[in-house]
Amino acid sequence: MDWGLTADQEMIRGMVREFAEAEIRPNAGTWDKEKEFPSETFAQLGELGLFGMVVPEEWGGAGLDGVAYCLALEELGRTDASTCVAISVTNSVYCAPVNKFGTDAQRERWLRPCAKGEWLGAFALSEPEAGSDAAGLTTRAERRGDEYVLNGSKAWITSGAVCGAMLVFAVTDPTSDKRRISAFIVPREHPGVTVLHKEDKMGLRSSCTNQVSFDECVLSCDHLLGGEGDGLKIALDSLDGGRAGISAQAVGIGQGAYELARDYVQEREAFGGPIGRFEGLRHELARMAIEIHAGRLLYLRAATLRDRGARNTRQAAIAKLHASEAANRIAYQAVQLHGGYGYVTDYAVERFYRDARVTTIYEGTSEIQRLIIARAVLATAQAGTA
Amino acid sequence: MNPLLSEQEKAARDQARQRALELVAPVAGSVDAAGECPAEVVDTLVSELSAADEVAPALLLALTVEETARVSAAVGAAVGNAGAAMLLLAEHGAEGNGRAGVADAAGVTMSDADSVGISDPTVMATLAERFVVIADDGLWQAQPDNVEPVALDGLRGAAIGTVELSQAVRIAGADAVAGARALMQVQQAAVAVGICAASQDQALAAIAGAKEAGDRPDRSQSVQWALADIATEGEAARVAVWHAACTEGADQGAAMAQVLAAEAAVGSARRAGQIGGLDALTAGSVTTRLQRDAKLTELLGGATATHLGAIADELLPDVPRA
Repeated sequence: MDWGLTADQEMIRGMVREFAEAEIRPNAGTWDKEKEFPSETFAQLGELGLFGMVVPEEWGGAGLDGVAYCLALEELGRTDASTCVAISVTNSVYCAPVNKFGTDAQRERWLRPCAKGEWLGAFALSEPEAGSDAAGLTTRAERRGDEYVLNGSKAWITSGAVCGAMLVFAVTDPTSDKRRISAFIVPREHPGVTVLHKEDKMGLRSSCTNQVSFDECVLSCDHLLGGEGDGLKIALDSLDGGRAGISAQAVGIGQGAYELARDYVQEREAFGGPIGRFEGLRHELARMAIEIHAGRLLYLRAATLRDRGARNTRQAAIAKLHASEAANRIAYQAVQLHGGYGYVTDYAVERFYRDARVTTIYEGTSEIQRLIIARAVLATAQAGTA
Repeated sequence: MNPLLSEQEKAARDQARQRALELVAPVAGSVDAAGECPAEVVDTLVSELSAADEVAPALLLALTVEETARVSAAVGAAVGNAGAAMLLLAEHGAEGNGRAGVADAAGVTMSDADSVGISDPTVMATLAERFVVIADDGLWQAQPDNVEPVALDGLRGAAIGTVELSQAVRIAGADAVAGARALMQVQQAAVAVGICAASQDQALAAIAGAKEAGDRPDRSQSVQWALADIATEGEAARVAVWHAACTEGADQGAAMAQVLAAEAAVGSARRAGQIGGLDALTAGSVTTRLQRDAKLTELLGGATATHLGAIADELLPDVPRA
């Protein structure tokens, strides 16, 4: 067992931290207030290789391991969760499945440009009436000769309006139980694709979250990712991979909120000195640091398992449950330590509080994580390997 | 980076699990009932700590203590304390015979004292024939006098008592204190992680028992979620212990592990009791023992508030406590 980062992992973390401090932190508050997607900054992030971090270099990616990817997400989350989520989505639930399940021709056409930073990828699984219940999708992909025709709508699509292509999950065999769904790579500007309104969100306000509709959207068979009926497998595998990343993002949000609180209690004076001298507040800061520490260790382990090709469903769910719930507690407490100033938009901590909230909801709610974990524990007990 | 157990480390953990089942399980209930420490079992388990050369000593101690505490937290605590003593004595080349324990004398400078009384209850106090004393000015080896057993309502059988220590001989300077204290925190946290694992075992046993009786508590979301929370908190504590064991407690990692693990143990034992229902809470049941033992992990070897204070001191070095 060795918890030390490799030179590459240290380098990536340092590079992203430097960029985030210089280019993102000074602007994140403005982007949030104006709900502005920072296209120019994303162009820079793309040039830095952050759109396809775990994609092999032969397909235009940075060829990093999952640990380095998660460290990068933590650094982005520490400064701006909105930026972080778009990077997370394009990497873990667009590039990763296209790389894993795609043909070389698909990788050339729909992976390389994304991995090279030319455009972002998106993931279109949820629907207005089906989020956690992925098996309850209604968007239909009907086979007509050599083509599929897509009809339906998708909801909560991160980067829906700014992506180059999205991975869309649709029903191809309504009669099947486990092989109902297939995955399709769909360019945003493909005929029949309409990006609908941008959600006006509580947090992550500078990220684009859209509804997308498909109306007689005709796709040739080479848009099908994997085999017909592989959709659920691809979706669940992508989400398993994504959970370590979302955990890292949540740890980053917690770290960012904690740092603001830590600095504030040293500056703010009351009763004749800095409020950071009071035991109760000190203990709260210590608890924040402990939860961040544990979240970081959990995501590093989940990411390492994935890097080694081992199944990490339980560990990733544990990391996501812990880190996202902790991020909310930490951000809440960070606002509390700021007092009234934590409640006004002049101080960045309120943005972290709003941004933390969604981490227990997207890419599998905390309730779904608990079900996954419980089932895994019960299964290992039944197998006698607990 | 490799935050996963190596094959050798897994083998060491499996061996510790096997030995705990062979040696500790048969006596776990009677140890708690009588409050008497099985000295020979502790000696045997501690002597086996040096058997796995490929595993870092602190990690091997943590793995052994967790697996032992999963069967009996009291025996796990005794093995942890005695094991830490053995490691510290070996690390600093101290000689001597007899069963050893560790006593933490925070705030004490042994150079100025002929003897020192450890007023906080100390694991192994009634069993150890010599002590490694962690004082502010270094590590010392000392002899116990005036040992007074303390009957706490948890970790019964961990040889807990108060002790006076005299005839102190320095074995390491002040620079060794932080590492020794971190090692103690690692093994204490490992006891708590063992309680988390035991709580999960008890919860699963209760579920299995109910299924045999025709009920399906495993289909209840409240049971599933409680089980998930036991697993999540236990796993967070476990990785923190392993990390602290491998990094020698740098950056207050061991203190963080102790806070996480102790609170996870209390929560896990409480949830196991809830899942098991009244059947699991009859007098003398394992689940009631886990709840008593868990509570003590928040107090013994430094209360949670003490650890939080120390962690905060490091986080806010320029702002002294009020």
